[in-house]
Amino acid sequence: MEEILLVGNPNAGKTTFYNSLVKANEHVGNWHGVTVEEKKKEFTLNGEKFVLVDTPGIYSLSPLSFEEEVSVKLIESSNSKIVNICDLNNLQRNLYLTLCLIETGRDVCVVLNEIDKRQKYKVDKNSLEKFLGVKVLSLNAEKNFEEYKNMSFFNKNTLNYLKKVDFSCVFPYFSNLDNKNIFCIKAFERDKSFFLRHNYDEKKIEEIFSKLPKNSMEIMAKARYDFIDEVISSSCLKHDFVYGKSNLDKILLNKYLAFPCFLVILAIIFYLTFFSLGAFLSDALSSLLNIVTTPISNFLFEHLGDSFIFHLFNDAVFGGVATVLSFLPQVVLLFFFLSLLEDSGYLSRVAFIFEDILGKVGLSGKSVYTLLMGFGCSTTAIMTARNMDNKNSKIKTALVCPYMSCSAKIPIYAVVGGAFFGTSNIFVIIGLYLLGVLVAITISKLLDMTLLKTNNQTFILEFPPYRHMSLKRTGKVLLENSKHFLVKVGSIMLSMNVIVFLLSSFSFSFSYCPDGTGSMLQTIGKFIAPIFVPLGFNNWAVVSALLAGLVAREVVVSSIAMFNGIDSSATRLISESLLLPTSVVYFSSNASVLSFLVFSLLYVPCIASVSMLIQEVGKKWTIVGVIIELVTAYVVSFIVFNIAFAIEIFGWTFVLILLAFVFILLSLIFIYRFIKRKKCPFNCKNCQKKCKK
Amino acid sequence: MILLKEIFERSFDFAKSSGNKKEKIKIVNDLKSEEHNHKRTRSAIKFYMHSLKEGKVNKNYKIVEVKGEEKVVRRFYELGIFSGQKIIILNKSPLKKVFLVEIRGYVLSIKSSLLGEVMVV
Repeated sequence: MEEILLVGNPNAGKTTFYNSLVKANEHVGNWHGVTVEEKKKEFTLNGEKFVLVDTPGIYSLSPLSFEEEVSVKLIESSNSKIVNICDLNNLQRNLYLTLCLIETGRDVCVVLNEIDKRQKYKVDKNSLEKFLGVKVLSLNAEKNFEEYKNMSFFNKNTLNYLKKVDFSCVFPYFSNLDNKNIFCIKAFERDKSFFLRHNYDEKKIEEIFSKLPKNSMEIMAKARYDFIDEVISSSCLKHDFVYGKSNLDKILLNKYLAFPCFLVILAIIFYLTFFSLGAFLSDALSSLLNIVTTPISNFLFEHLGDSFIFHLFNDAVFGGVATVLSFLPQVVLLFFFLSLLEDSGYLSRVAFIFEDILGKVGLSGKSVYTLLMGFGCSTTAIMTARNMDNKNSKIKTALVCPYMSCSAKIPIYAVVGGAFFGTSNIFVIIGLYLLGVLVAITISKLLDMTLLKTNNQTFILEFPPYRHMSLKRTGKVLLENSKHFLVKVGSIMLSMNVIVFLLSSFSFSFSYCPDGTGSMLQTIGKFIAPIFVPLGFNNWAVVSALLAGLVAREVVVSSIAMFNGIDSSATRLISESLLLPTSVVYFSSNASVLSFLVFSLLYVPCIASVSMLIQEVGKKWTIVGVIIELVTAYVVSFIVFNIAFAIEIFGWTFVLILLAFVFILLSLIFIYRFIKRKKCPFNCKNCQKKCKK
Repeated sequence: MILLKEIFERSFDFAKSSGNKKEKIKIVNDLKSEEHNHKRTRSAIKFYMHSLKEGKVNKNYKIVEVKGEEKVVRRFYELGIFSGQKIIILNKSPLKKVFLVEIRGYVLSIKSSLLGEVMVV
């Protein structure tokens, strides 16, 4: 079947158009770099069947970052038809890509997307068609897209600015080829990768480039932009506002108010998901689940007695799965707020603020998106690391993303932390999130100094205007995330719970042990537990819960519930059972609880994330990343356990003395380095710190 | 037109010493065109040009020359940043490493070390 490619600038509305034509539900956001791979689906256009392909956004046919390479390879590989989607508010820059596409001689159809109600340009379609030689349509990709049925693909090759450029210096090299024009244009643009893809030698490429005039790139760009100015002045009416500038930026990008605003917004999101709204909905859901499951379990008890099958249903299915289900509101709320942030356009401002700090650590401002999405689910976040242009910083962002505590670890903090710390659990959770961010920054700095050095990194990012999310899209986001969570619980959670139950109720000689003593899991756990003695928790149940958490993090909580014999979904009951001295899952002190929480935050992420890492970064760096994570988890939880244990024994004054000691040490080191620095003897007026003296 | 006026005044100081009326008319006509072929205007521009990195906020600049690494320069040309364009700095980041820039009617954020090679007047 024939393919139709959707090509255009980033953030022009290609994925919205794709969603409305094909009735799909791909991820959309007000940010450059949301779509990072191609998506295909069938659809019918005027009776014929085609395959619609959605691509990442590009600025021209010479790519800079990894996601742009994907779309350029797609365009060059097959001779399919192209639909170019342009944003009406930003026509001048979008028409540059249109001209690049029309020069190749392929069948193109131009679609103008009216995103906001207040338009910058009013277009006369007939004169545009005369200038460009292709069909021009204008519609709204989300709401009013019925005009797409008038799409027709042809190319009349009426671009007359190409005759003004003098190609005679490189023309003899390509005179025997079919499409000589494209090769001449690409030679003038000095695009080396294009010639390498078409099997030219490096020597021959250098020979061709030596014949070009010095400012050949500028000649091509100026010719195209002069043509664009001519087109726009004759066929469009222009309003005078700047696209992307708004009055909110005076507050949000102020020198002193930028950071506090960002922290306030994060604090509001955090408070709403964890404590006020999320906790209320979560309690309501767990009591609802209780009402549903208690009569069923009573019915089963009457008919099956205290047998193995009854325990299978009661503990594994009801106890394990129901606990995790009651966290559905908090997870969905977190994803909802993250997509609100995405759609508003605030993320570009965040990238602007954090670029100079993250640049010192080896990451880039564009990795802010990956790291913020890592608070939701790190599997989908790792894939968006493709929007960077430097390979080393892409690897670093992908490796560091799992340290951002993902939404699957929320049940562990709520249940285990809530049991032992009560109302001061707020501070523990905040501390854990901050610790994750700190560890991420230190590890990327370490990697930057030794293994993955970044030399020349570019940062060019567009600012979109502020937009609000429509009601239709909020409903879609909530539904999609709840469906995803329920499917995950129903499939992975259920099977893992059954496996853990079976392993903990049968010994190696396949005899049934109801208490869990002598079972397979206990022997495995007791074998591994001595490793964790310096960390404070060497209970076999805790260790096997952590092992089971390798598949998906929520399994830790459900296996804890199963070991303690809880069969309802009330998290209060689980927390109370942990405090009893007879509980199977036993923690020796509050310090060991803290170190357990830190370890569960930092150790190897779930299997889905690891497979995504292998796909993005390669086997070698995933192995390095996994080893680093294990080592850091061990070291950091060791430190935390010892400090907390020391607090418990010696009291708070000990810790204050220790902190003062560390502070004095650090300041002494800083003063020493400050005294011994090399002073510059030349006092230049405009010191740019470029001289290497 | 404000930019042209400033360049005109500065190069007029340069041309004062010549005292030749015909040459002054030549310089004025040369300034009004985009090309700047006359020797005196070119030397005036070379004397007064500086990189965009040392620019001030909310001041109109005109680009004279774009240099740098090949892939960066190509991306600048695709976005419309070449000689002869008007550019305004809107905002600087707290540590002054990223600039918010307005060009051709839209807003971009660019790293300032890349802008160190863009010469403006």
